Amino acid sequence: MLSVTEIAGRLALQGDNEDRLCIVPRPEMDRAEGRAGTSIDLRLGRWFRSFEQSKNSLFRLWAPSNGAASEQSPLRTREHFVRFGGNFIVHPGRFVLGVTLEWLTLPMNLSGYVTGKSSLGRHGLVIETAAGLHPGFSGCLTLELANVGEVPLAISPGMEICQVFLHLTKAGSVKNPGALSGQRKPGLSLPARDPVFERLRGTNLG
Amino acid sequence: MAGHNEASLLRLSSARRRIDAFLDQIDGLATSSFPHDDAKIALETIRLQFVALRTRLNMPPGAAEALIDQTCLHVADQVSDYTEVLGFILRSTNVRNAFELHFALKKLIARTLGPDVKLLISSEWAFVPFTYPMSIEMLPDFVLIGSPAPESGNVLIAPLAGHEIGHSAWRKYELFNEYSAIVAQTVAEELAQHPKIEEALLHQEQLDALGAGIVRDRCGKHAIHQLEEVFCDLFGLYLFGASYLFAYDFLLAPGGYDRNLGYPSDARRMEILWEAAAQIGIHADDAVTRRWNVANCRADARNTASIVDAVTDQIVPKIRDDLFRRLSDLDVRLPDDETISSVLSAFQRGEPHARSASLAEIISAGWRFLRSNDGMAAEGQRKQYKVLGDLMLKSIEVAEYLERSTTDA
Repeated sequence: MLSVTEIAGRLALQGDNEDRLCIVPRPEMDRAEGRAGTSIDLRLGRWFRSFEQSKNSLFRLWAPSNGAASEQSPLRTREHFVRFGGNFIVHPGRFVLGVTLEWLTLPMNLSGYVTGKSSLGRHGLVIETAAGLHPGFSGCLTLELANVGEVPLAISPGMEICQVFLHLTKAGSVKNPGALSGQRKPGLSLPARDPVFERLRGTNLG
Repeated sequence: MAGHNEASLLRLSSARRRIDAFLDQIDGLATSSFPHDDAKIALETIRLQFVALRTRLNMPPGAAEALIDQTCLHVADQVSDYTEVLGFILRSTNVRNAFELHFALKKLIARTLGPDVKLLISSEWAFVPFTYPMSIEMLPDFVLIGSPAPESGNVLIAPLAGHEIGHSAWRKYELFNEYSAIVAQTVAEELAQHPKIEEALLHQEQLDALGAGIVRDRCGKHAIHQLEEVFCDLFGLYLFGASYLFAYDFLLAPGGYDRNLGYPSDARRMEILWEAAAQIGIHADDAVTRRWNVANCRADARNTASIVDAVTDQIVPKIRDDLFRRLSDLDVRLPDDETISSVLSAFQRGEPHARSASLAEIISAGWRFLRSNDGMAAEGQRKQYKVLGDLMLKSIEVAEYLERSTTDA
């Protein structure tokens, strides 16, 4: 796992250096290095996606098999934009997608994971734990935010919301995803198609 | 209500109900999720004015029927006019809009129009950029800019907002008054130099020699309108650099539409822009100036067009030089080529730009990236085109973050 000093070193690399780590806007590394830890904090972005009630009885969490049209309506969601200085309220029991303010681009020899901040978790705001970041990832991180507490919680763009840990990945084992990928808004997609799962569901042997 | 006949009573009631329904609509809109505070301020301002308008319907007994009718007519007009504005405000909350543009555009407006001017960005169900240029009676300090709904999230065409802000600047700087005299004089000179055209125009309008004033006024009206449009183009060019040329090209190329005499021809507008760009050191590949088709000018408008176009051409250099001097005095910074290259390098690495850059620099880099990738419309490039939009908007957001986190912006 990389120390904060090593992360700072990766961030300082220039241009096309293949070890270069990119986080935009740049974290305040002086503050992070002062804590002498192994993670850096990321801030909350301005886009959110909440889920709306609908007449659908359920939503299946797997992709339709190859070539088949989706038989179900997509989940009804609503995007929200909150300006700097504004608040987004997460009510008890509600779940919402957020996004990091930072756009991260990982080199092919780094991977990592994102966790919530304990100071927020203790107040009931839970962020998906140990979300994996693969080598070559590029984009803002979608955050799954839930209020498991008993009072509405206000969150605000620009606040430190989660932390990222990074570690080395052995070279040559990962395929480069290529140029231009990533998004600035919270994403919502189904898992990729799984042929094994499709065969299991399609097998009619009782 | 002694003194009011039944018709007056019912008419006043109708006007009250009309205002009440309008106020209900405002109250409903007020619960919307506004991306920025300016829309909320606009709604509250309109609401207070309509509350005041309703009190004017409390007529004393015996009020004259003519007064009642006039007041009811005014209410009907106001509700009609401001229903359009409410629709504009409602559409400003739609997440298809690029909300990240607000801070940067408002900074440009503060610099060019004044610090207290407010901004609403919305979208229109028409494929033309649109503005209320500080021309709404109840919202005199508001600039409203609408882009075509299918393109309202397309940051590449944001430079066209520069043209729309230009219309507010034309009013704010009171340029109609400044240029009216020179336009009238130039029209008169141009007609004097082309007596056959003047004669043809008089004949066409079935006017005798005493009608020459009507011909001059009509030509002058078209010319001042053309000059306002040229002014707005040059305003957009100065604020947005080469990206304005590309956005203009995207919206209007290849030309060849029916000619509107309130505008120079599309091709001529591009020539004027190209000459002005060279003057202030803005560089772009000249592909945007090639292959502009000639607009279709109706036969009965050709004589007028020849006079008006000639007048416009004579005054454009003065308009251009006056504007560029004014913007330079206001410390409006031209896009910096080195910064554009830096932003472009970041996009080529698939990253947003990490340092401060202006809106014009970020969008110019986006256009360069797009044009160097053959327009990014091929099969398989659709996702990359979307990522480019996100990289630009994230870079704009980062510039805002940097400014806010280091100053009291």
